[in-house]
Amino acid sequence: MITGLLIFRDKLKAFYAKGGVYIRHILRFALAFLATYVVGRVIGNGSMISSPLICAAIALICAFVPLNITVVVSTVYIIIHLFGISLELAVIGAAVILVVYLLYFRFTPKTGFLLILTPLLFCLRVPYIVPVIAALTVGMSGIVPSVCGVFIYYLVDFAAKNANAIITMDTDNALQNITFIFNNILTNRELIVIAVSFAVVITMIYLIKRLSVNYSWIIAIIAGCVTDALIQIIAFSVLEVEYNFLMMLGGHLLAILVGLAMNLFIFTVDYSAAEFVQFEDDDYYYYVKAIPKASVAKRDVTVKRINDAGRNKGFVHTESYDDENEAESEEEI
Amino acid sequence: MINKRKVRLMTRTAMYEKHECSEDVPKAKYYKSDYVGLHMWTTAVAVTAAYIIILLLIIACNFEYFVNNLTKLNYTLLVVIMATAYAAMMIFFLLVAYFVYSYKYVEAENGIKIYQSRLHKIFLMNKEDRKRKGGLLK
Repeated sequence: MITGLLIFRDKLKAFYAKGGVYIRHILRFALAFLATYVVGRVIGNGSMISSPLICAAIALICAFVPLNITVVVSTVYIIIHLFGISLELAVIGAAVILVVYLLYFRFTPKTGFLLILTPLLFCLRVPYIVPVIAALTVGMSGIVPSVCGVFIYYLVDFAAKNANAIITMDTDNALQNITFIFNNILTNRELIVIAVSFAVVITMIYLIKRLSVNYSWIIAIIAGCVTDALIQIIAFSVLEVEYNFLMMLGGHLLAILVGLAMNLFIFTVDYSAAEFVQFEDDDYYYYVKAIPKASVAKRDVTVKRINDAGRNKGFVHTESYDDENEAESEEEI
Repeated sequence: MINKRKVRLMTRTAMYEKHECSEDVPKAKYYKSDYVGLHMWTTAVAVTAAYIIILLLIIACNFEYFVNNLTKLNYTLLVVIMATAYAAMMIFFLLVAYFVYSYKYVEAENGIKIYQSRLHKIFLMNKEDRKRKGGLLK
């Protein structure tokens, strides 16, 4: 089974090496579309901006721009929706996101995707995957964007659940409304428990996977998910927060599977995509397509029978790999 | 006749120019101290803006308390707390900025060095080619 998975991984790597440019655009499109569409469904109230066509158009633009622009577009999209419900909600959302941009994403812009991935996974009812993805991809620097993503989700959730009450609030008392909204969100015990558990689990997974022991990645993922489940079960029981035990158990099992799949298919392999470059010298124009060395190991198993058919022992298995694709080694730096 | 080694070098160089070069070259235009110093200044501005936003949010959340206790508040203590919080935040983020931007500058410098080395090799190869063809090299 392991051999089959490894061969599948090699095939995946070769596939990515050839079509990496397109796969990257497709993934960006999918992330932007899901982020906008799901938020539109939750707090869009059937407005024009939340229609799938508009979401697809936004996602199409986001597919061809850097990921950080997608993050900005998605957060602006969330703020516009919040503004549709209440000015105060939009102000709170914008202020929190602005503070995170000013203080955090200046230094680690690559962790920005977690800010939109976290609310998205919450909306898809699989939030337990967030700390696993954060710890495995960006390490401990993923704590701040994940926790902010949790806050944004609960802000959106609060807006969705209390839309009618918020819309009918007295618009002359904006400050009182902000106090009301902020106090309701910050006193949400579920939010605090999840934010703390995510921070603890991200730190734990990151530290364990760096240990120089065999299978540290697998140990880190399993230990992190078990700890996450334990923290949440104990805290929810003590604080008397309602939760679905089976959903939580299933979610954490899924998180373990996602973590293991990420470990096997993504992080242990160097995925470098095909490059298209052009240049010239005195004699030629060059239009080069550089494909990374990703050769698929072809299984060539031959079984030689040494003894007679009656006694089934002494099989010799020879496994050879096609070396023809191996290009000559690089000479320069 | 296409020189395979030169094509490889030129491809690597073009790939660098396509991706990292646009980020690395602007950094290399500065001295390290200027680059880090400039970013520490912008960080200071960002921290000040963030501090004001956080302060406004705190005031908005506790507006009723502030209005009710307008005459009872110890303003000296309040100002000291605000100033200390601002200074602590500023020092923390300036230190982070110093380490982060120093690291980024060193990384960019290394990238540029490799890029220059490749360019030099390509230049030498072109020189050889032209000599072989009997042309003049300026």
